[in-house]
Amino acid sequence: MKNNIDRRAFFHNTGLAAMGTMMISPLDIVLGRFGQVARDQTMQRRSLTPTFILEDTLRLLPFTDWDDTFINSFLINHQVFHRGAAYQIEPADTEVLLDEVREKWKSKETADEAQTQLALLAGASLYRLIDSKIEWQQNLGEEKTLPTLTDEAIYYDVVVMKEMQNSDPTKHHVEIDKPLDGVKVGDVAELFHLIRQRNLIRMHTFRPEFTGVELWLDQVLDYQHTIEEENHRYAKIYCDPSVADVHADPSFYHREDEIIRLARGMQVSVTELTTNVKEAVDKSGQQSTYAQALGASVNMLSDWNKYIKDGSVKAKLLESF
Amino acid sequence: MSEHITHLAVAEDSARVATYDPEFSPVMQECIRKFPNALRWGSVSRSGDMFILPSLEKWRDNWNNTDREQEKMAYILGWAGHLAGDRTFKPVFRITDLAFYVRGYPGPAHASIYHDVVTLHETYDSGSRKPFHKSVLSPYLKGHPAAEVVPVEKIENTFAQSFANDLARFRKYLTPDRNKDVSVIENVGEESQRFYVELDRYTDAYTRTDPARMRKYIIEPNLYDRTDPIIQIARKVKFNEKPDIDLKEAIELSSSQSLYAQALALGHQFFLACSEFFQGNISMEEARTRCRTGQPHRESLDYYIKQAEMQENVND
Repeated sequence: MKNNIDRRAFFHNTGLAAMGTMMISPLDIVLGRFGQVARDQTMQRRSLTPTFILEDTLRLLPFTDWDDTFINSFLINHQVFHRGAAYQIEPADTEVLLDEVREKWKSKETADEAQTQLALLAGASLYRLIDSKIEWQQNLGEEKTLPTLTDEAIYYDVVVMKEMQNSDPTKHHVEIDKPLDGVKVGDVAELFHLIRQRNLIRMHTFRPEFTGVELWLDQVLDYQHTIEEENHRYAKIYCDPSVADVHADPSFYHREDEIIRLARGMQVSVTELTTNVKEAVDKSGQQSTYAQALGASVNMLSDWNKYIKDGSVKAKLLESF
Repeated sequence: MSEHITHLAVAEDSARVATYDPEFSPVMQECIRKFPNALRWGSVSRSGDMFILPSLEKWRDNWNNTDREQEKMAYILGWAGHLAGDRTFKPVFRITDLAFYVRGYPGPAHASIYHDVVTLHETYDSGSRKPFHKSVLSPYLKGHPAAEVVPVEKIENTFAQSFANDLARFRKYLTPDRNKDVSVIENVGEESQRFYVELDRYTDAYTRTDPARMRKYIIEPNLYDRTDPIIQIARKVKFNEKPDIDLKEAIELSSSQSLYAQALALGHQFFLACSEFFQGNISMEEARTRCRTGQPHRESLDYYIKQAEMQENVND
């Protein structure tokens, strides 16, 4: 893997090191026993592709024979599931959290919380899994700021977007690896800006970080510049992939892979409902990078399902953090 | 609840009114002019009461006029604009849409959505001004020239979740001064940036406007009147025209005019208090009073229920 972020060093240098000096274990914080200590966040890959894969994972849930309660944990708590990307949970602490989920699962009073906790933990483990499956380069952020996206990351995000566009028979076909005739970069950049603007309406307001607003302001203002620049970079590569200067991996995404067909079909309600998801997942291990990551993601959720049912595969799950 | 667009509009128009005021700090004017996007994000940020005046106090004695300082100043002023919107409109939502709150429906009240779509129409000229576009509330940006070639409906949520994850990295979820007694799971739910406003409801209000809701939330409370002098000032500054309107008189008149005019007058009051405090003309205590720091945006729900009952008795 060409990920040039040393994740452990990052945590060591930031939040968890600070926790250590205060003699409070991350476990206590996660469990809410010491609700008075700040907890730093993790540094997962920023590009959209991991989130695309996680969303596709959720799209495949209805095809499984898993319990409704298990499936609904993710469909109801899908935002918490994605927030798993923002959490670092140390392996040593995870076991207690896993035990706790199963314990809460048994009681009606705590079942809702168990579902939410499962969504967060599973989301965290799946983001890490997908991170390990993606090969392309990512930039190293400064200590206080987020890394900007590499052209490579944007290029593959654009590939997925265009494949989604083309999977819908009602939509205008776009070339995946050629310039788009008659499409203006400025228009596409504005569209990405508007997508973010609409998301801001959905979010309503920003919550500041109370413990250090000056740093938070610096981070948020830097981030505002970053995403404005990235809107334009996405647009340029969307309109002409050759500007990315990427040696494209032809095995990144194969729209014929069954598991991908299933996921794309679920986006436009044209899925062949008889498709065997298990077979699609089994085949994915030998297919495109995207299919492999998606298949591995479904398999890991299957492990979570087994764990909730009978406590098995616990060791395997612990290794995933 | 939401009123994202209204917050943006009140902050931007308050800034326009402030720039028309010769007493408003030239430094702040420059910050607003150079960093409009910072002001916009400030205008949609919470908890400004805690940070606006302490930040100004810190900066006023050590101001180097760097780009970053100016950008932060613009953000802070947008934050002050946010408070003017909250203090004007939050009580109105409860008065005009009480049933929504009593029943505890999820998401924003209809009143706030109608405020936003009318504000988009009036202040942003049907969405055709930055940071919006006339298609911003169309289903999946239909009508935008690039929406033909980009699958908005299939990628919009991915952008949202990625954005929220990025923002989460700037936050700490368990801090000494809040949420002491809840688990991390509850904190994630409460503190992380969730997307809880359904844009379909905005699209519906904008494209299939309900006359009964317009009457209840917009017409009867007098949300917006283009002829109000303070709104005229903001509009003329927006179009780079000289207002030639007496500002003091416009502010005085606003107390009996539209809600939006009242919000701009309050925004102007906050901007001027910030300006005078930054320039060292008033004390922290006076600045806090004029910025209404710490004053709740609204009363308890019981208060509004009693108000509604009293109103019913009057009507009977």
